[in-house]
Amino acid sequence: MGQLVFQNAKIFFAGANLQTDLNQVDVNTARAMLNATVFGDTFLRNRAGIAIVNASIAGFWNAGTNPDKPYPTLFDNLGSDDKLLSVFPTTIEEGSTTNKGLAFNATQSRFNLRGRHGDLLGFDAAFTGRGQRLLEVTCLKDASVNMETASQNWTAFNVGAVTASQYLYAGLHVLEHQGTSPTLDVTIQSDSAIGFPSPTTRITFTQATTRGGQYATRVAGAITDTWWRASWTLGGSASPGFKFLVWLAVMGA
Amino acid sequence: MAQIVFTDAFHSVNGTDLSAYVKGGALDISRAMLDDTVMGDSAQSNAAGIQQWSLSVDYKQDYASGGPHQTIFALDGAAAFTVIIQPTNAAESTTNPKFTGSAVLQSYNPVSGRHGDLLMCRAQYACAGLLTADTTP
Repeated sequence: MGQLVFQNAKIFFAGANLQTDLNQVDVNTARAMLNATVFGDTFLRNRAGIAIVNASIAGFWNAGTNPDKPYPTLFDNLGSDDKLLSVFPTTIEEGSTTNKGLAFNATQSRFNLRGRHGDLLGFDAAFTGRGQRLLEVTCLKDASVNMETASQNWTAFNVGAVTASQYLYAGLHVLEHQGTSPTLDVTIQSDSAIGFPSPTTRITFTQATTRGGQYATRVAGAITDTWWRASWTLGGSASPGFKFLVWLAVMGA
Repeated sequence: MAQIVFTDAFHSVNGTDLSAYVKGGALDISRAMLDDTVMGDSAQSNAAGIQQWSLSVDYKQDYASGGPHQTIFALDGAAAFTVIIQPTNAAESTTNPKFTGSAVLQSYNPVSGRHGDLLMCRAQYACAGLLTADTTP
């Protein structure tokens, strides 16, 4: 039986990599409890209703022009809808179906500064869901640390098929970029074999030219392909490149 | 009357034994109190209504197969399943009842903690069936 000393969480919010200034993260999912008690029951019968998803982060105040700093990123996004939030509790392991992250499309609801005289000035922020459940996600490509400077079809991973009652979800965090007028086009493809003899594009993200997050419109199953990969095309001049992270999830509604 | 130092509880969720991950828990059982006070009563009178119960458990988090996360997260939004909590991991008896009930997952926090903590999680289960106390092995 494993246990985890919580040391290495990765947190991405829209186009920001917030890890370096955070020291606490909480992700919660709940369900509305619907009273379904009927005649004949001698107990309160609950049924699970819609999902209620929220998260909170906390850390040390750090301000600057780098969007990966809490300020002004978390101040400017306060109240903005449809910002992708992804949390990886341990290391990011591409293609892993066991070491996964958690993600949801969010609205940032709170940004607080806090501290007493003599403290390191701290902050906390909170986020709530935008109408869909909390997703357990598999990273297809982690380019959050090293700049990608070439177009590629990335490694294929066997994530499994999408049944008729499931959906394919996908998210993209576009972080730093370089070059002149750089562009990034990311797709998620599937195939029936590891060699990708006849790939099918299942998700096409909007072309990125700057930082940001994208929560793709989900795709309904059934999809019998079990092999999945990220594919991206770079454009621009003067050595265009991007740091980014793309994930997919296969889950019910 | 024997006391119990709470060190060896049994706990399972949807057939998976999660005892080895449990740091603590609380089982709350109640009855709806129906006010049936009438003329002539000099004090409030209550009649017991339907049973209501909830179970809250704190786990040491583990994302591996058979651990809390893969067991509990799969029950998000799912139909009712069986939860069991027993004071001691031993045969049922009058002094060691096995509390068993049908529940739905009310809440779960798959990631929660500060840097350097032992990663923990909490699940809250809401009743979807009668809670029974089995004392017969």
